[in-house]
Amino acid sequence: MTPALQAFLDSDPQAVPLVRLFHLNFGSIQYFLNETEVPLTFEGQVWRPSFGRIRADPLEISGSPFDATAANYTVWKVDSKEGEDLAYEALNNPASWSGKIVRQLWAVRGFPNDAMVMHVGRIIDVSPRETDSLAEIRIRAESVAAYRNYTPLGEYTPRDQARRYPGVVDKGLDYVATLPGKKIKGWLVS
Amino acid sequence: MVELIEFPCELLRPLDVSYFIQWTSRDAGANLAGVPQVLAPGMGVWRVDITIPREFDGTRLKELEAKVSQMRGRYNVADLCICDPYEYGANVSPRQWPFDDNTWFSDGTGLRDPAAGAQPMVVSAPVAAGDNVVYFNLTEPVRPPLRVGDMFEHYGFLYRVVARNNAGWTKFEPSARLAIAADVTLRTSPPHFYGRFVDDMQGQRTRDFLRWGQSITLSFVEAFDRSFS
Repeated sequence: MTPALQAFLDSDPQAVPLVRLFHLNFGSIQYFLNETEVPLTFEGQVWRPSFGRIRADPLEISGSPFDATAANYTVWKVDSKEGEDLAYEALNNPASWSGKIVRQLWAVRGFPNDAMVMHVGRIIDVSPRETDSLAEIRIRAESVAAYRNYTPLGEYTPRDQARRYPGVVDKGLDYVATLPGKKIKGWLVS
Repeated sequence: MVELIEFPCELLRPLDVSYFIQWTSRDAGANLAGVPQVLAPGMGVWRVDITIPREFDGTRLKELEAKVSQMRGRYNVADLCICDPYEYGANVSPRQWPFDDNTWFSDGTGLRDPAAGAQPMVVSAPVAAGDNVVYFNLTEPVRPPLRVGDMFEHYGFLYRVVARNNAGWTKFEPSARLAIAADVTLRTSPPHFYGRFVDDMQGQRTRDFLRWGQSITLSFVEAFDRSFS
């Protein structure tokens, strides 16, 4: 945080013109969205208005930088062409979304070079939710710390299971070990 | 593809209206002194409520029912007239023309014709999307520009003047949704508004007009898509 922004925040602690920014990186396609209805420029990038197409659940960030907290997003009420395309892609080609990076930044209007990165996560899970009056996609983005917290080899093996639950006879993971891919992690990628 | 459904100005004769910008803020809780902190992204969305008095004219009633049906609930977008008795219209600033060599009278006035409507509100400098300030070349007081509280429209987006000076500097809310080019004429009399029904049940009770003294309210929220079929 620059001293100028610090001074601005100190000048009026009661009201902060804070805007959340969302950077969704699907590799070939990238979305830079802000939560308002007008385009905003931060960090040299124009963040397009999202018109409510993306919502973020509150971040629960503790003091520890090693805490692996996930961020949850609700994106694209599926009533727009863009939303329908993305929903189709998510449901039919999970690999195009899986593991892709979502960043959430906080920025203060008037300080275009001072956006703070609040969360960086990889898309682990995508679940569409559709009722008679609602259609949306929920995204869970695990923080980079979650990867650090996986077991050393990054996999949960039959041996890990036996050690964690002694006496329980479960041959499920033995079966998985016989599969060609041998890995099940988070959201299933075809 | 979404359709733009035009509600003719004479169809909605409002008894009561509410033109309200609904701002969004978040609460960061109170500090130890009990003072709450407000986080505001600075976004506001228009909400327009129109209450129509009783209507015994069967033709108009059916026309309204047809328009409501065309809206397909929240799917389509309505093109509404913003009815405001205090609007910037011909009674405030009748249209004035300069001479054919583009000069005005020595006091800055022109040739008046109230029948031609209000003085066109031509933007003199471009406005970027997200900005809140627009400039006009009209000169106070002989050709009065917009007053505080006046509403104007650009491409179906509604704005309200919140501050001004005599040099044509005009501040408005909410922030410009689209860039406004120079020399564009803003609509003021009446301004239009593109909005969606707030829910699928709006307009369900139009037949209540036939009951004695019954009025109904239609509620709209600002629509942002502009790709109409």
